Amino acid sequence: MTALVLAAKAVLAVILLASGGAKLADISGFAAAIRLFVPGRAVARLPLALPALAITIAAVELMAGGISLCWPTAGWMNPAVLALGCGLAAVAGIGFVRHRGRPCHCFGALTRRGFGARTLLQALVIVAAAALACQPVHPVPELRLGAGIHVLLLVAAGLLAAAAATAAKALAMTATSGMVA
Amino acid sequence: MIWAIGFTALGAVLCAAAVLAFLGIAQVRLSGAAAIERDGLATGTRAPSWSLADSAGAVHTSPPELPLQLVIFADHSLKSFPSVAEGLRELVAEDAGLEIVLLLRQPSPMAEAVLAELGLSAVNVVVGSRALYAGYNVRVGPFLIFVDSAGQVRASSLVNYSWQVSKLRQLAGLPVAAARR
Repeated sequence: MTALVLAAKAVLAVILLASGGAKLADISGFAAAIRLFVPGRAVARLPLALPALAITIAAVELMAGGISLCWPTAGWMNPAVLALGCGLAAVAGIGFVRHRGRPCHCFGALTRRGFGARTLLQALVIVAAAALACQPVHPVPELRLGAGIHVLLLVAAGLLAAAAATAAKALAMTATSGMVA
Repeated sequence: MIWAIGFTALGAVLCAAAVLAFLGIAQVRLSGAAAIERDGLATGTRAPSWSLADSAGAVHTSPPELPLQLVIFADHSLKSFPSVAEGLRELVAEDAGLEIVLLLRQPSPMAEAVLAELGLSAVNVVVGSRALYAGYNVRVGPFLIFVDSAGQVRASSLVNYSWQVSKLRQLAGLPVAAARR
């Protein structure tokens, strides 16, 4: 059971890091996806709120992923990741019902997939993994990492987020309508 | 201790796998003919700003002073696209509100001679840099990008025929919101 819980935690951390890094590289695209869920009047009143919210969500994902990966004994992070997953599932559910096919930008420009059954299923799998990661691990002292390991994982997390951001940025630039025809 | 080692190893492997996956995704989606057709800049995005002198010493700027500027990305191979040259000649003759510049990546003594041979002496030749060229996200030519006086991209495409040149000019005249659809 401990192995499953730790594996779920590591996988979720990597997903959050990738998702946050890719979103940060294409804030305008992600803000456009958020706009689908915000009333038009609110958008008109606060034009800078959408990019700010997009940056906040991406930063929260990066932080949650980084802390989960580098400090696996931080038990308080597990419910936070579960809450993030539930939010993601709620958005995927609403997107499935009301905005099917519209780009979700869940991984910035890394994915062109829109809201649909697959996105909803993926979100539910993430919620299940987050719920699994919330299970207590025994014995906790055996999971304490040394300072060197913390630094190693932090570097790995940074590299992963940077790679996701770089790839997403390159792909976002090419998202034009194609050759005139 | 074994759990700490296992978690660290799993985390590092997952991070490495994700980095390789992102590089692979970017490589696959940025290579090939279909990807090259999606080069350029999306309509409504901000084009790079520059101020460059042509061979006669006249300074040209982007955003332009005229309502619209056509930036041509091509080299001496433009001779191999007589239909594109014909489309450009029509634009030069018919559109007084359009500034046309050929942007070179590096100095080319042949450029002006080739343009003269094609009847395009009215096209101004400016020499940018590799970095500036990269800012337009263009890998192959002939490629045309229309930029308005606010610095916004109004239309962008690889072109092979004169009808594509005139259609792109029509698209550049549309409001940005309509052209994005």
